[in-house]
Amino acid sequence: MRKQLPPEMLARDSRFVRTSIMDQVMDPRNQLIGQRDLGSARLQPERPAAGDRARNLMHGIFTGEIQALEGAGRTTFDFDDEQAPFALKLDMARQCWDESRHVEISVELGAWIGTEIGEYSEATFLYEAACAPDPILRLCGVNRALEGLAIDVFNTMKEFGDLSGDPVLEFCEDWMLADEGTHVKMGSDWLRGLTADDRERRERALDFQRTVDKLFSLGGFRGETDENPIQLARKLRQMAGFSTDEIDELAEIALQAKADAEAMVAGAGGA
Amino acid sequence: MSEITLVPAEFTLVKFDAAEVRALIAAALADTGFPADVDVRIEVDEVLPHPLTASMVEIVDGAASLWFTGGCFESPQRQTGLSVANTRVELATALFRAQDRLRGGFESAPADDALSDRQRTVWDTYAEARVAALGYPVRVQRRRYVFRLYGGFNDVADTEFDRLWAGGTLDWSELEATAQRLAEADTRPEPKKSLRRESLRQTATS
Repeated sequence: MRKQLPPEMLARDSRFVRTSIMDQVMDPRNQLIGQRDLGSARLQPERPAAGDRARNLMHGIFTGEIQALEGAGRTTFDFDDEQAPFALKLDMARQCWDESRHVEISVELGAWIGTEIGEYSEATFLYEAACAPDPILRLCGVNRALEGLAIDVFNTMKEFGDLSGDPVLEFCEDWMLADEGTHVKMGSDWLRGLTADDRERRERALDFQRTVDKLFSLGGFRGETDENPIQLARKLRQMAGFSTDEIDELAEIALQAKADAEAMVAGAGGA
Repeated sequence: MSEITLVPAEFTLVKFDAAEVRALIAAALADTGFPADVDVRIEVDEVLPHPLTASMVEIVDGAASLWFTGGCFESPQRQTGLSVANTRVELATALFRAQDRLRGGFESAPADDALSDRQRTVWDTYAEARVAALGYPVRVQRRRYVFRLYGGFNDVADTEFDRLWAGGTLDWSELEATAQRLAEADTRPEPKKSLRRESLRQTATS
């Protein structure tokens, strides 16, 4: 079996349609949408199109869970015991089990709120974060950045379930949320353990995490203002082991990602 | 013969073929039995993408005016591309609502921007049930979830939804009564202010 599987080789059946980040970034409507006063972008039942926005996000969670499963699965296989200790792979194997359940739960939740597999396109940038050749970079990309994003997204969905009075959504998201805290902690523990005597490697890994975090905040998707559909879940991130400084830095990264996207759109509009 | 107007006449921000959209409008008019002597204006705000879906229906001087976000017609799989299935359903649903306003029984219904979320969701369900009966590709669970969002996650809401989906005819007073039953069974706090659809349309002129 091939090691270091590239995103284009991920196995998908005919229901799945792949999209790229560039399709979203270069959409000619972006600049014009920015000129509209659409109000809060938060996912709340009283906001416009709440049902369709929730379905869209739910499908994104579903494909994200598949890619998280694939990322953790690849880490159990791509490295020998010199590169990644057996205990690390065991943690990743356990995470695969969690992600598998999350995939199944997300499929059921999708059906509950009225979507189905393949209704929305799939971007693979989550899996791309899991393609780093160094297992520590990969853990930072997947377990700290991607699973950190999962905390923010699940919390947003859980709050949506709570506000709308949907007991099924709220309950399921809450249970999945609990797993994400464990996944982040595994990443943090292995980062500390494997780089205890190698500060340069740790810095490289944290730099990679910042890059991935910025990617996951694209265009203001995540942040702490009303303009961000996904809210940074500070308290839950603290419970998962992120320090206040790390969360502050992430908030700053999110602001920067939004500014970068706006500049990109302005540049595309002027071209 | 009535005049059918599509605005914009050609799409520039999304990859919708205006001729294809016109053909879908013609088919939806025929399938829903829309009165042939009523002018119809269909405006698509192509700036607003999927999943920002919203629509409004007005009758002005005997003519039907339908407004949609581009997201209503956009493919969730291909950014800026047209979804034929979604377009058919959205058009037919709005046309049934326009017919309700034209044919009587809904004279006392407020304008779309003055409907409560519950009233609107009951009306949408009543209309989409008729679209489903035409054999159009309706997602019943999608409609049911929106119904629960605005009607409540409880047995009363589910019973009312099933009743509406089963068919039959409603007028405004019955629709209002249905919304009232949903309100009485709903234990959730009332939202401070609905910003559901109207705010999207207003952004085009703000």
